[in-house]
Amino acid sequence: MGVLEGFLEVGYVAEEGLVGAVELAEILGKPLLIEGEAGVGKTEVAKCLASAVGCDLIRLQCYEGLDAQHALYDWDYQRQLLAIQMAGSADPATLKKTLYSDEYLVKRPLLSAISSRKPVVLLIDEIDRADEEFEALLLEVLSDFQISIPELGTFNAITRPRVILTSNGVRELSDALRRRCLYHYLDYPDAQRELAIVHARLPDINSQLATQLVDVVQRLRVAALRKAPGIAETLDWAAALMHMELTDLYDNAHAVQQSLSALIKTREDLSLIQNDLNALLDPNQSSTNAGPVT
Amino acid sequence: MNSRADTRDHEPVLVTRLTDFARYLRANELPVDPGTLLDLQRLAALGHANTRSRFRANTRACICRCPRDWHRFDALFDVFWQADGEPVDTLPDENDAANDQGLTLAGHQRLLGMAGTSEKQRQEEEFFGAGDFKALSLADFRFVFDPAQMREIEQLVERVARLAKKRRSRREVVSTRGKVVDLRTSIRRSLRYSGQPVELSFRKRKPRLRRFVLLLDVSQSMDVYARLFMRFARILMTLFQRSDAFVFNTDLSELGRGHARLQEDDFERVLNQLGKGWLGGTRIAESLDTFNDVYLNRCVNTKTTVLIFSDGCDTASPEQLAERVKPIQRRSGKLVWVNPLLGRFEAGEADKYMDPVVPYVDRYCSAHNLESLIQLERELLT
Repeated sequence: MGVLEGFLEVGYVAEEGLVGAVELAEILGKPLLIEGEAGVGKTEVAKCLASAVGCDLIRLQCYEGLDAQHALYDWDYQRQLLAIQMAGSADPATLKKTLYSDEYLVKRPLLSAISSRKPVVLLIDEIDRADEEFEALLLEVLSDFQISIPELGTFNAITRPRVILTSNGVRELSDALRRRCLYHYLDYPDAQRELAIVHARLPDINSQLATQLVDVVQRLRVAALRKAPGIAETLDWAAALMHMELTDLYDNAHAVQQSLSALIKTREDLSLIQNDLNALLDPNQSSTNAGPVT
Repeated sequence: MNSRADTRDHEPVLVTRLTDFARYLRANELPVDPGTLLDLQRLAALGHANTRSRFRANTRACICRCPRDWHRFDALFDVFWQADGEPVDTLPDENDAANDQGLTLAGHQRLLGMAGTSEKQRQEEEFFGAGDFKALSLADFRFVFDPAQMREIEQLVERVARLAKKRRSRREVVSTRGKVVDLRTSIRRSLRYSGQPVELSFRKRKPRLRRFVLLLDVSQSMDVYARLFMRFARILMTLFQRSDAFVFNTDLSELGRGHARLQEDDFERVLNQLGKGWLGGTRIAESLDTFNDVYLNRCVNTKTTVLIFSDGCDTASPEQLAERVKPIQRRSGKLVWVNPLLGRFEAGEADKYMDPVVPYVDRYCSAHNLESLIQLERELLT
């Protein structure tokens, strides 16, 4: 089964370029860096890839201040101390050997992925939130798929993990990191693809409702909102509207207003839209040409 | 099957053409390193270039490194893989043509305004123009007429703004002093003393995220500076997500966060709209009055740095302007007034517009060139 079919099977409607990039990453054995706005489905790529190929997903969520102890490995100091206290007058050389063994090694996501016997998908999420020092730390892992632990030696990957990195572009990533990765820029989907996503994720949705809500979301993305709705928001909104048993969006301004909290996430955007709700629900102002999915 | 067989027949040709393509991309400022080229040739040899769309997707994924590369790639690809694909420079696009015209028109307007330029600056202007960083960093933004140089400056401005994020401290820093003991590091250190906590480590408190409020004068007198400050503001808003930006000319309007995430082309369109149809004179005092009434309490507190980018040329009197600035300074942590025209004045020279206002700002500086903008960025974080 190809990547495209695998994605479709787990309900991810991927664009051709993304499928090609994932396949390439597989062929060349390189990590794939996916950049794009928040909410376009970057993290979902890794999750769906793991489901599609039947692998475990190991996720490393990056944040400012993330360091080797939280990403690579750490020693279980409390247990080591207990072992020292209990050992009493044991031979120091033996004790040292015991203290720095697998027994006291705490594997963090990167080491878990490298040392896994089964193939895994490693998701390094929001790499742009981590510090530059952490990026440097990643270079060894991403180019050679190995991790050096001074006390134990070098761990080489038993099975090479499929690595997906995501970034929202908050911070410029280093050239060294970019050079080691394949690159894909994931944009918001066009109306056709978004409609296909809605149908794939919510198969019971009314066709007319789906077309209308996608049209509204597409128009909202063009407006200069503080937080443009992502695909997750579209799906949440669609689910909310389905729950309200709506079939025609344009005739139910009140219901739409009640459900906007699923779509709009800031007070400013909410007041902006509420002031302009009638224009938004005017079918004559529809800008998309989304047709029903066949 | 046939198409794959055909592709394999053409592989040696394709491999050679890939080398030419890499050379062509490098000539167009899209670097392709040897490793990437080898990957591409390997893919071609394996038959992974059997359709044009797949070949395009593969090369794009291997070669591109950032959104800018991504958005330029297709045009370069199309030009090169045309039947008569002679490498041409695709850098100047439609926007550039529009900018070019805009700059030329603006250039004529600027010639009229050059009366206030010092002789020293004019000599500098004649001197600079080689296009290297030093020259660009010292050249007044007004005197950059070449679209390519302006594009370079815009990129540098964005890079300067991004520095602000890099300078921010890490969330938690292990320190030898402090009030909160870092248990993990302390225990690790105690291993060498048989578990006795002889050396303690501490954690510094997490620094608070800065909050900026930017007020940008986009009147005609601000001209090219407004474009660049908009870029600066856009990056600051992206990096410091609790920041707000406002633009004013004859009245004040909020620049939504949406601008921070606009695509380059859309943002360029917004920039090109700046100043169009605003010929009523700048009403800074009136705009600040609106800001004080509507936004001051909501957006500004003692942790906020307020930045006003303006030349201070107001239809109201300077004293009235000073009255509107006072409450902003009182409420904010720091008020920085950036006047790009400040560079035109010699030291000690009077400025009838700004002299009454300056006592009410914490920092009054210029940002007429890249060097002064870099100083400003440092200023913001101290």
